[in-house]
Amino acid sequence: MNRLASPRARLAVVGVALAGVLGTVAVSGLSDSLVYYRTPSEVQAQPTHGRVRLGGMVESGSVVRVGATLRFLLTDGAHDVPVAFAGRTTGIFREGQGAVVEGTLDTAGVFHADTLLVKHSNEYVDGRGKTYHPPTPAGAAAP
Amino acid sequence: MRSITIERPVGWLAVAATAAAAPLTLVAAPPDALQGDVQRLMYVHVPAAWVAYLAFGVVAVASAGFLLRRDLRWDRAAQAAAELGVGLTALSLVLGSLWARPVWGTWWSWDPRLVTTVVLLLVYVGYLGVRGLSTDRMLNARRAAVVGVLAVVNVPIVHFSVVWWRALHQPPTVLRPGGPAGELPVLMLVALLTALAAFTLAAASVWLRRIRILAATDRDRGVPPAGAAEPAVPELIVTPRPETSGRQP
Amino acid sequence: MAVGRLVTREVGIEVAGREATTAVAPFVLVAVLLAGLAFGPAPQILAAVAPGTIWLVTLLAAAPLARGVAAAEQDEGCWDLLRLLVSPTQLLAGKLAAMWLHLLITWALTAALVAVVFPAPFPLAAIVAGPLGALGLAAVTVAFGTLLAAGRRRSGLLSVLLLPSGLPVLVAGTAVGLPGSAGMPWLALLVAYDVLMVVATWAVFPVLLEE
Repeated sequence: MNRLASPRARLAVVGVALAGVLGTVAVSGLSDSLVYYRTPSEVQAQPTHGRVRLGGMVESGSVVRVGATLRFLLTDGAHDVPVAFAGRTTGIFREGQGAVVEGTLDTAGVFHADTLLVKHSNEYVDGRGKTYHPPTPAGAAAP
Repeated sequence: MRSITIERPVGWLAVAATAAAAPLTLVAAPPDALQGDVQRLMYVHVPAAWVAYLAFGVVAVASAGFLLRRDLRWDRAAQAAAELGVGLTALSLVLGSLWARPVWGTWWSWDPRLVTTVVLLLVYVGYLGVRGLSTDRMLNARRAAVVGVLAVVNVPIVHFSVVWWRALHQPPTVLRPGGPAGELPVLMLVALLTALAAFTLAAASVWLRRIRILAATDRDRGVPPAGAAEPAVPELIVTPRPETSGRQP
Repeated sequence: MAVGRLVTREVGIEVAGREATTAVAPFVLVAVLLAGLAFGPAPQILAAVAPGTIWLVTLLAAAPLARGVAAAEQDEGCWDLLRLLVSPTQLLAGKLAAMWLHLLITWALTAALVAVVFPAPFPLAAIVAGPLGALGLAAVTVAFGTLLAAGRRRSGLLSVLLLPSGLPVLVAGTAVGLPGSAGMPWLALLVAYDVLMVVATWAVFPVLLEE
């Protein structure tokens, strides 16, 4: 007991516990089971009927505006999901960029979104030189 | 006093770095192809967040230092860093919100890193609040150091949340394995690093000044000098200076 | 064993004064009832918000419980005597066990009410999450309760310090209770939170007793 009585020993134990716990969480595969959004492949493999967040890249040439509804394909490189979004687009929504939509998948496989968020890749491209890197699929965004 | 001799050169370096960063970030660095000039907010948002995290790291080390040494110099270093960190976290959150509106299309997102940064802000506001609870200077310092140690646990969660959850917030651009090559155009990187240096130096300069002012306040209030946990001389024997003696109610 | 006697003492104080019971039980009853009214009569919505309601109410109930950590002793003027008689670690173990019990009862009461009023399914992982979440939360509650035992501006500070510190419990406890969620990683997160909070509280507790 006496050996653990000094403030130095107690703070050292806190440091060891912090390093140990964070190290364990970092090394173990826990991060794989925590998902912020699903990819088009996942959604098509097991369609869920509740509310889903779907993330992917907006496929080039797929964006069509029909009346107030915006239609486009969300892709992860392997599978596409058609998305219908009735609402105002804000932000830098454009083809080839990442996007996260929130809504439900209908029986025909169309995703009806009520929320659209633009997920910009961590690439910053020189606006004068116009060197364009094709963005990586959103599925690879997790390190 | 050693702090004054460091304080001056750090201040001048901060001025020089800011003078270099302003034209680099505002003129020399190109606008982003997709985001346009809004992306220049990065040169303030990222350094503010970086210095805030650094400041909370200093609070953690200084809190532990105070608990081990019971020297008010550690406590003043922690307080100055916490004040700096709270201000810069608030700045970073506001700027991030302003940046997110045109780019993501929303002011706020329930993104883990955003949420934990707000939690950090709250916890360190509480940390500063604990310092005003008592009129006993040492008691306040002890309680603050305890909160400082308890809060350290939050900082790594902020960092790890980026990795744990596949989030809307983009992964960190510079501080990630593989280095910055091929991600940022060179001029943008130079501008960002200069802005980082300017923020860090300016923060260090403010921090040193604040520590000196806090030390002067402690001296005026008759707090025992550094290193003494209890007054070495009974208080009755000390001749009180007029007006400045005793603690404020 | 001294710790056992300290826990018996805490239970005795509670039985005699019923401070925590009178502070928490009505709050839980009213909060669950109002949450049900606020989230509307649609059964899908009620089922979706049920796990979050349980942990939100439990977390909010920790604030009045924190105010009572050293209240009885300070009212009777025996706090200093207690600090002299037992070691800080024993005192912490007693306080922590008592607070764990308080929070477990609060959580169980809330969960039972929600299960009846909202009708919501209750996965097994959510039942494991109860004691796990309550332990870490108890450590934080004891730490901040002791810290702010004598402050005048304590209620605002308590909410700013205690409630965000309990955020991992709220998030993990809620996620575990949602139907179809992966239980294990969240339970592991709760264990990690427990370890860190109990160790950190143990490390700083002697400093809190110095006053």
